Amino acid sequence: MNDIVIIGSGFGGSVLAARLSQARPGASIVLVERGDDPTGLYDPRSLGPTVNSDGNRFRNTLSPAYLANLVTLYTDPVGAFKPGKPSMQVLAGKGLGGGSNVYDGVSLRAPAEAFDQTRAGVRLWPAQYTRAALDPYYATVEAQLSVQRLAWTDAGTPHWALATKRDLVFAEGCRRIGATAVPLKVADRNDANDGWWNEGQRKSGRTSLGQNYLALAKHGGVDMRTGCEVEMVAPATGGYVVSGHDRRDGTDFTLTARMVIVAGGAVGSTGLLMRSRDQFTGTRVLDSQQRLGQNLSANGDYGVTGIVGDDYPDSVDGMKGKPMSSFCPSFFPTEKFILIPFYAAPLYLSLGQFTTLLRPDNPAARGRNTCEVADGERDWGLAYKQRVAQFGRRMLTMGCLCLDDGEGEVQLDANNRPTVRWLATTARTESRWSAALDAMAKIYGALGGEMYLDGYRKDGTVHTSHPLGGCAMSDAASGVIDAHGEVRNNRNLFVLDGAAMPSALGVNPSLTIAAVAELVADHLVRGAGTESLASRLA
Amino acid sequence: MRDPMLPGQTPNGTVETPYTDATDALWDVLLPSELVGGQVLPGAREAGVDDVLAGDNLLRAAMDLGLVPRLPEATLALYDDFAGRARGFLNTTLDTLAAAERPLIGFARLTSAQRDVVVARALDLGGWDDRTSPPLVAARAACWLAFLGAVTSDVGLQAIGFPPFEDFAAGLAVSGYPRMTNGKLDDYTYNRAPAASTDSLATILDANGDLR
Repeated sequence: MNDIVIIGSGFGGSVLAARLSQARPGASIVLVERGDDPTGLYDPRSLGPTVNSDGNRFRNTLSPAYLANLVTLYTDPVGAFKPGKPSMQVLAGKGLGGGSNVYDGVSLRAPAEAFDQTRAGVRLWPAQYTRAALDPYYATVEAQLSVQRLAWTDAGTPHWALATKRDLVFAEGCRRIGATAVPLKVADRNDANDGWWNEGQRKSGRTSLGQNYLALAKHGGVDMRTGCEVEMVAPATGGYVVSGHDRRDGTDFTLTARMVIVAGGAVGSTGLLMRSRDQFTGTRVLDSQQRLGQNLSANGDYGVTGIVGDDYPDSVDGMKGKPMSSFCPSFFPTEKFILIPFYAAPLYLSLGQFTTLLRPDNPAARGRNTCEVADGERDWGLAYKQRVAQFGRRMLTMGCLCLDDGEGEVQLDANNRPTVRWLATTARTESRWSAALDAMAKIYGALGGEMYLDGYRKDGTVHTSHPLGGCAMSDAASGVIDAHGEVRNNRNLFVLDGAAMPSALGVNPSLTIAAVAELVADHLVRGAGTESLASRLA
Repeated sequence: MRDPMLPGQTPNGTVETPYTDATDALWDVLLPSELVGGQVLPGAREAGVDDVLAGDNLLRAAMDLGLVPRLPEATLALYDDFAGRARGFLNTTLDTLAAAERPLIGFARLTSAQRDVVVARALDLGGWDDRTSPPLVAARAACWLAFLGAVTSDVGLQAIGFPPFEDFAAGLAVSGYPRMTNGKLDDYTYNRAPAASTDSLATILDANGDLR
């Protein structure tokens, strides 16, 4: 029997793998990851494409066959792409390093208010989570990931750490509507100006998890196995049985462990527990209140694309530089959203995900499924090609992240695969998204341009790359997991990743997921507020 | 009175078309090449849409990534064999659709404007046909995958302003800061602070740049 099996290697799993292996030298810890090892450093048996002869980490391609190694799309099989049908799309990272393979390095601490949110008068986050309590753990993660704040100018700043041209144009738009843009905090070192999208950043400077936490885990002796998709977790005498399929040799596998940490992402972890639920009976019943899958948050993601005016010829350089390097926090105190301009692959835009690059029939319309494409607008042909050609020069892409109400839901389909759907948007979330859309439309207008039609207004589709929840931590006895991510009635079974987050954060969540994992690891090692790791593995 | 000439018809009566078949003509409707200042700006054909479609069925992977609308299995299966079944089906479909615009001459020999009308009718919801429209939706998506996906070529990316790949076979786009024609390095930043805003963030952000 292994001491610990960790399922998933993103910002939750990699932190736990590093910290628990450091705390228990010699312990038998296995980390299983369903994707491949894009670094080629940790699993010599990995099947996927890895580094090339120059030591580059990723190919510069948006070929779907290649991207399928790095991302997974969870969608709503009923509503997807059908006008008028509720729909949701969740893009999740895949491969060793999880979401860090495809994220943009944005590393903001969540605002204090995020932890104080309530639903029906009950605080969503367990009492031990406040911004102040997490600050030391945030600092630890920032040190590991080399997080630093970018700058507008290079006085005292490495030149590569400057905000992009796109951000200066965005900042001018913000200024004209009475708001302010400031440089972001990002986790990268010296290569984010590579002139390509996140998958394509090919040097080692982007400090993704392969270079820090996973390196620590490897040093700590963690056995990393990629290509291993877990199908089921079940209780067993003295621990748990983890079973699944190993693509590397085409065989099924079974692992036993005293402790199991599920960290496969908000949708992946939730789906795994839902598949496994029937295995837990009697005193070990899992999810007795049938809460699994509920309140999946999109973290308020809402992206749009538009074009700036003739006063900005060739000014945006939209396809170049860092994917994200500034944000506008001005609206957060009143409207609970931030705005971030970002690089989005032109392929995604031209194919209509998450924006159509087409004009709406009613630019003033707000809300879900309120707009159609304006007459005469087409997403094919010469005129559309010429519009796409504006991408680098004048096209500006931006989005909001806000405190939504977690209106999403994880379900299992007939094949027991997780799917997602977005229920009715609450009036509060709708109000925040509408306010954000107003602000973004004003920015385009202030820059002499216009905003195109987005997927939410056109088809009612909620797109997110920041899913949170589905198996939320809670102090309430009815919650599936407790404040340390431990599944109730099931000692030594934990969920610690985006799935465990009880609410939207209003900022990019990777730093918070990692900070929570650091806090739990620290508490486990010290036995602070929970049984100690030593006792659990004795 | 002399009969009006067909598109591409020469005075001696032969009809010529620059296209190998209807599908080849379709590429110039969905994502055409352009002649600008004496230079041909590539379209889907030049970006290798035929090669993209002849390889593994990228449409399935693109659909799994949400890049392409949900397509019927019959359409996806069709595109598993693009060079054979899919191309033949597309040719037949396009010629059938073309007949509604102008009988007998086939899609490839319609005028550019007529081809545009035929495709618009098939792709727009008003003219949607469950049998003929999905293959055209797939064809449209394939054009953009070829053009901007850097699958078999980077000419589409160059057409919208990207620099040429440093080494396409190795999957390397550009390394670091490319050098501009004046010899300076282009790091994609203005190295300039935005104009001062009237908005104070002192109560919103802490000293580290995080929301309070």
